[in-house]
Amino acid sequence: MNARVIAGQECRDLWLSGRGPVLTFAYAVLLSVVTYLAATNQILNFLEQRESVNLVLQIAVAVGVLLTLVVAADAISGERERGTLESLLLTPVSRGAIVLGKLVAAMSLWAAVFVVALPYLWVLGKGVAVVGEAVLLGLVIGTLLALSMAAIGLLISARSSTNKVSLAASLFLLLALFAPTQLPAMPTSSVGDLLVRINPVTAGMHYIGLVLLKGHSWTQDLSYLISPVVAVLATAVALAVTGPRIVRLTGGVGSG
Amino acid sequence: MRSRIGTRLLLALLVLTLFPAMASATVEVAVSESRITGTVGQYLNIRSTVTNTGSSPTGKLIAHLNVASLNDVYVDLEDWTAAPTQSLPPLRPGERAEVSWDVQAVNAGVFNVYAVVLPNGSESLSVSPPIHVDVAGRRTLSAGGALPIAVIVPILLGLAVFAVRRRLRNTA
Repeated sequence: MNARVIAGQECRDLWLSGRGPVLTFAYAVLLSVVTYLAATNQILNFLEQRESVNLVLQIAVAVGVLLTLVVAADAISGERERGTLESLLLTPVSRGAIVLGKLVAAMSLWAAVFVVALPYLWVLGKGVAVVGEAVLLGLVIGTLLALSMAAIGLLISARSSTNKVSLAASLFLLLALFAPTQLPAMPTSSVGDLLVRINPVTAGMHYIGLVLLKGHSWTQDLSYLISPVVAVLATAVALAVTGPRIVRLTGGVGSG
Repeated sequence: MRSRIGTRLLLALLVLTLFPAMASATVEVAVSESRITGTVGQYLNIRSTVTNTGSSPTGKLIAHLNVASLNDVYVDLEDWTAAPTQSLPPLRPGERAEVSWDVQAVNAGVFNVYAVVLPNGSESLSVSPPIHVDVAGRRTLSAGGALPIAVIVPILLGLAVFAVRRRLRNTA
């Protein structure tokens, strides 16, 4: 109940203070440009519609997860810097409920950007009957990644001494996790395949490509989803265990 | 001179005596389909079974996929698959191994796709029967549907942002 109150308040702050709509608008502009280029530009050399759907879906998931992480990374350290955390801590709400409420607010941004991505996926994939599959893949994989990144962002935010540190550390982590998705054909070697599998982001993105692009069945490469699921469980447990203790007025490792 | 030839013959005899298994290992390569039709850009799954039909174990095997054009269309194998070559573990007599490739048909035309297995040493290659692949061209780019969506969605969201900001200003 307490968590629901906090989540409602956090969502109002996110969506009515202007940051949520602005981020969603910027996200829509980016998807518009990518979608238009994928649908018209010969130089991109997309041979099949599935490829353009895959590109837009991967960008939608990647940027959606990025925005979710940014909001989560700002959630506690940002309030601390703005001086609003003190009043929040004085309310008769448990710290676990505060963490859960902030997690829900961050995930509301993921839900919004995912809804924004739907018309782009529809327009690119309508001719090849791939829209339903793309939407479901984006929902499942994107939600897993967004949830784990939001939880990590909250943990970093609670432990960081300043908001800048929190945002920088979170973005660096996300960049480090996403960078391998740009490497060519990693899974062709056993070491490369292992690296893809243990990184939840590369594993999730690779799974999307296998199902959407190469036409594999959902169950054929299910093992790629182990690391995203483990990441969600591990970060959820970490947040549940340490969350109530690390939400405090002073940030930074070792601070009381 | 004669003694050198004699030594070589003796060496050859020794090798054949010591390693008879290598000499009698035979590998057969089969493919799952004989004909595939598709369109440009489509991913095709080529599955192959490699069987040791000989009486002795093989060494490590290398399976390689190749694409040959039947109507003079230029083929760059790396465009079709990033990993045309795969390693297979040694096979015992009668043992079989499955190999598969995901290849993307990047050109329209008529092609023969076949798998070759290269045994270690100097044994002859084993080749699968060809898969006849007929790839039709297709026009994929179309701005018709994308442009309205690409314009309308940001406009609607922009209006929503403007409305929220205006409401906040009025409230303040």
